[in-house]
Amino acid sequence: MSRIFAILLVACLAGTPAAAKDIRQAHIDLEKQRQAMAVQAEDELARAKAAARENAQAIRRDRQALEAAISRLSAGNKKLKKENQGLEKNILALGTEGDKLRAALEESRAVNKELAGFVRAYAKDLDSLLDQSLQSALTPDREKFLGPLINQERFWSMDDLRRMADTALEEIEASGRVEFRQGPIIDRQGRDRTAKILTLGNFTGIYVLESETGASPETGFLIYSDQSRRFFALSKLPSVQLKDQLDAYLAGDADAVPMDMSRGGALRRFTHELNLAEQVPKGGPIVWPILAILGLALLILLERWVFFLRRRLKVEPFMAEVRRLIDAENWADCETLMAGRKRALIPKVLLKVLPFRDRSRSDMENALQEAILGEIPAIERFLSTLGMLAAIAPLMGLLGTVTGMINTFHVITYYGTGDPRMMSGGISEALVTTMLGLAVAIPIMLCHTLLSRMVETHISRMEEKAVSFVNMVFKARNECRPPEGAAQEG
Amino acid sequence: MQVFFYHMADYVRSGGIVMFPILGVSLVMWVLIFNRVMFLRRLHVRNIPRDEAGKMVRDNLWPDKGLKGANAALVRAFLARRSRVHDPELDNNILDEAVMALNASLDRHLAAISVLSAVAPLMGLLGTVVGMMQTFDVITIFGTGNARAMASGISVALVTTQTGLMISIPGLYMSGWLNRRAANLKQRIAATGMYLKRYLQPGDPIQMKGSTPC
Repeated sequence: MSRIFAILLVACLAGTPAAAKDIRQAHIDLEKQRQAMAVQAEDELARAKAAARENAQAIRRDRQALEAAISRLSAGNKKLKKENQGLEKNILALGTEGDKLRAALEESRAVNKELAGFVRAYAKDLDSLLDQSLQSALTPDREKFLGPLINQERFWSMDDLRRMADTALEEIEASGRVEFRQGPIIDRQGRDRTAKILTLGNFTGIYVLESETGASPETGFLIYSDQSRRFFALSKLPSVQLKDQLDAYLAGDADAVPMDMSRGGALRRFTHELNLAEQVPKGGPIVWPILAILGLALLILLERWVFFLRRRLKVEPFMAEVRRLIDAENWADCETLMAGRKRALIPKVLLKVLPFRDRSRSDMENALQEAILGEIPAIERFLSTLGMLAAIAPLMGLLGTVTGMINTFHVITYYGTGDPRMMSGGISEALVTTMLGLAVAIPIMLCHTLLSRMVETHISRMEEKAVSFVNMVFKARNECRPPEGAAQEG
Repeated sequence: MQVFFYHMADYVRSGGIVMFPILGVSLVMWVLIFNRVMFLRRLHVRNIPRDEAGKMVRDNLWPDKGLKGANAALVRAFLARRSRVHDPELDNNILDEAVMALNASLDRHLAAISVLSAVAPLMGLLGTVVGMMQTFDVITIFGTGNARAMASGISVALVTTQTGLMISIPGLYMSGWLNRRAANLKQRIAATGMYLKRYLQPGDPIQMKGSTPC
């Protein structure tokens, strides 16, 4: 339509200049032209109308097509919207499911972690158990497979678990078994040796080591060291009594065997046990005077022993012999008999009185008394010294106790009471001196008593025999010279 | 019985090495005590009355062999030494001698018993010290934490002390009792000696069989 207007406009504008030339001609021309143009215009109009009709049709067609497309699209849109709704619902459902699954995953991961922790802890426990078990000395490297599990180098497998359980059961079984087998030990000289080893469960190991020089085999206790997982022979051999018990058990003669329930603690204490010679120097300076007392007492006792040994005499047979000789008034033989035993006390005393045999009773008794008193100092010599030594020795021990306690309190003043080891020097000084004081005093005391008793016996026997001798002499005199009364009567 | 012995052995072992001398002292002491008790009992019981003893001395009769009491022993000791010629003064002295000889035998072992019973608690003390030393050895090695390890030392200390006292107290009692008994007996013998002197008054000389005056 707009094209038609445009053409009309152009035609109007082009007719205007021709009017000026010949208005009639021009008019006719114009008429003609106008007619032509009208025809043309009508043509064009018709064409335009046709075109317009065509266009309108085309437009209509287009419009229909567009409308169809629109309706198609809106239908599609509707469908898609519906689909979308379904999908959204689906997404929501999937989201909740995903959350659920994630929670489940979290849970199972925690469980898994816990289980792994358990397994690791158990592997650690088992490792330390095997570490401390003295069976490990006999079956080396049985805990090697636990290393990766403990260090978490890899995740454990069912095989690992099975192996752990087996090892634990094996250990339980071995810890209740008394077993005899060959095995490597480190002997007391520190050499690697193979010995017969008897293990008493997990408590004690006993070894029998054939000696290289062919002497009798060495039996002793074993110490298990968990650092090196090896058996070491105890540095101190068991006492004879213990060794006999062990040998009897090993030979099958005895049912009981000494064992260490503390897994080596008691055995280690064994090696720290000191004998007397090792203890004595721990007593400090007071020990030496106490030992000097002991030495002095021993010397005195030796001297006394020799003294009485040289003067020993079978008294009753001797007195019987003297009685016989006096009854027979054989004074010369009597004198030689006494002179022959001159070393013994009684003959010596009697020999001194023999020259007085014809004197009065009081003279004889005086002479005897004098002779006995002359002998007494020799008999009693050192007796009081010995008594004094017996009294001094425990006092010395007490002195040592006090000095030891003083040392201990010095230590306490400087270092406090925290470490009993620091104090042990003073305490052992105190105790060793007390022990030595008593150990020295008791035998000296006993010997002193026995000796003083012996001296008393000797003196009283001397006196008794002296009186007996005087009586014998007078009896003999009476029998030779009957009493005056009898003589007068006779 | 076996259980009892087992407990005893256990007890002795828990006392350590000092138990052996203590038990040795106890054994010797009780053997001596038993010996003395029997001896003194015999002197007390199987006796003869004094006047009978006097008659025996006067008539020179020996007491029966079954009589072993103090008076009989005195009479026997006197008669064995008596002079064959009647001399009252000499007999007097001989009687003194017999009393002396008899009294000397009464004191035997008594001093040993009292000393052994006095030594037993000292040995207990020695055991205490030894036990304390063991305890302190343990402390030096293990510290004070290990009470179990210290127990053996402490049991040595206490068991020996206990045993020492257990042995000493009856020993001291018995020694006192025996001493008293011996002193009593000595007095009785001395008194009997004095009494018997009355029967030695000058009188007719007693002619004995086989006496050969020169």
